[in-house]
Amino acid sequence: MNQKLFPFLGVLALLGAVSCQPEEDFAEIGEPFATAESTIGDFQLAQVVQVDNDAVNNNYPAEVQRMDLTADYPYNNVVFSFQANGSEPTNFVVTNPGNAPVFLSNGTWKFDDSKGSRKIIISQTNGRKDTLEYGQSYRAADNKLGLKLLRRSGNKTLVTYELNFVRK
Amino acid sequence: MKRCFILLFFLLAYTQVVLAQGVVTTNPTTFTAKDKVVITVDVTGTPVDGVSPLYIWAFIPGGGGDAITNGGNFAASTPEAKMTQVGPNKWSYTVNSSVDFFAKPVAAITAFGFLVKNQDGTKQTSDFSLPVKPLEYSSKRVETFPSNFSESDVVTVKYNQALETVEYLKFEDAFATPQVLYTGNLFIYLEAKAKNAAGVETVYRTATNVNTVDVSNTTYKLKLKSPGVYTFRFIPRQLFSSLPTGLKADETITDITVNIRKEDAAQARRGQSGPVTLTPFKLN
Repeated sequence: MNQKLFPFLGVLALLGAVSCQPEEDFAEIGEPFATAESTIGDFQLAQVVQVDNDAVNNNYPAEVQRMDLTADYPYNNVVFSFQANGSEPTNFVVTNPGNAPVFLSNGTWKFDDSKGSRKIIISQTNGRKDTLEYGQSYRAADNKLGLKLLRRSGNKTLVTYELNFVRK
Repeated sequence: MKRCFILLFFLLAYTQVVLAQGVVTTNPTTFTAKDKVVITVDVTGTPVDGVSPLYIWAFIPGGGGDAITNGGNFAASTPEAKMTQVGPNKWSYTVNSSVDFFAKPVAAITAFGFLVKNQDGTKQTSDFSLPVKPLEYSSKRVETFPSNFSESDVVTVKYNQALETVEYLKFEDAFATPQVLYTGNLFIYLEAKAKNAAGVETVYRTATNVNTVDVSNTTYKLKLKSPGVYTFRFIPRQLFSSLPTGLKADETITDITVNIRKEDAAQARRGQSGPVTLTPFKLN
C-alpha cells in the first residue's frame, strides 16, 4: 500500500472514533415542554418575579419592569400539586404554610389548547378561574417548571407573576 | 455662469422631487407611540393630485406590521382609513395612539410609515416615514410598583426623597443653612375607600389620621432601600382586611390614599408628603 495514504487513513479512523462518542443528553429541537408529563406532580416554588406589563410595553428601564419577590415572602415553603388520574388532570392543591401571596387556591385544573399555545386553567373552590401560561421552558430532565400568572383587567394584562418551580 | 445654471437646475430638480412626493406635517411636530397625532399631507404634484377621496395606508417600516385600518387589501381601502380634506390637495388623518393603531407594543413602533392612495390603490404617493420618539420614563415623588395593581396584588410604594417638594419632609431642618437631607425614619398612613355590591361606601384607615400613626410599631415604617429611596410593601386587600373593623369580603377597594410623614410627631405636623391617591384596577 502507498505509504502516503497512511496519514489520510489515520484521519479517517480518528473521525470514525470521534463519531462513535455518545450524544449529549439534549432535547431534540422543538421538543414540547408543555406536556402532561412535565406538569403533573408536586412542584416547590423557587422564584417569584413580579412584572409591570405597562413598563415592559413602554420599553422603560429594566429596573422598573421587574421585581423579584422571592426573598420577601416564605415562597420556598409553597408547593403546587398538579394531580392527575393517569394523564388526566384532576385536583390542584396549594400548600402554603407561610401564607405567601400566590394568588391561587385549591381547585381543579385542566389544559386549554383552544387558542394559541397551551395554557392551564385553574378552577378554584372560591369561584375564581385563573389561567397559567407556560413561561421559561425546561428539558424534561431538568425537573423544573416555569409558569406565568397573568393579572388582567378587561382585555389588558397589567401585571404578571413569573413562577419558577423545582419538582419535589 | 455655467455653474450657476447647473446649480439652479439641480435645485429645481430637487424641489420637483420633494413636491412630487408630497409635503407632510404633523401636530405635534414630534410624537411618541402613545401620543395623539394629526398627520396632514399636501399631495400637490403627486400621483394623487386632485383625487378624492384619499385614504391612508400605514405600516411600521421594516416589516413591523400594518395598521389595523389597512384591512389587508391594498385594492380596497376601508372606510376607517379615509382621510379628511382640509384644503385644496390637503388631506389629514388623526391617529389617537400608534399603539392602538398598529396593535403593537411601544417598543415595536420605531417609526410611522404611510402612503396616501385612492380607494382601489391604482394611484398612490411614495412612502413617508415619520420618526417616533421613544417614551421616556420619569420617576415620581411617590409611585408604585407595579404602576397598575389590583387590590390583591403585591404593591410596593416607593418614595423618592430627591423629588420631594415639601422641605419640612425633605430636610432635617427646613430653615437650616446648608440644608441637610432627612435620614431618619419615615412612616406611612393609608386610607382605603371601598364599596359593596349595593354601592355603599366605607372608609378604612390605618390610623385616625396621618398625625396619629403609631410610630412605636414598625408595621407602617418605610424601609430605606437605598440613599433617598424608601419603600413600603403591602397587599391592599390583606392590609385593610386585617384592621380591627376591617374590609369585608363583599367590599371592593375603589381607591387608596397614602401620606408619608416623619417619625417625630412635632416634625410630622408639617413634615408630611400630603395625600397621594392610588387607584387599583378591577381584576377579571
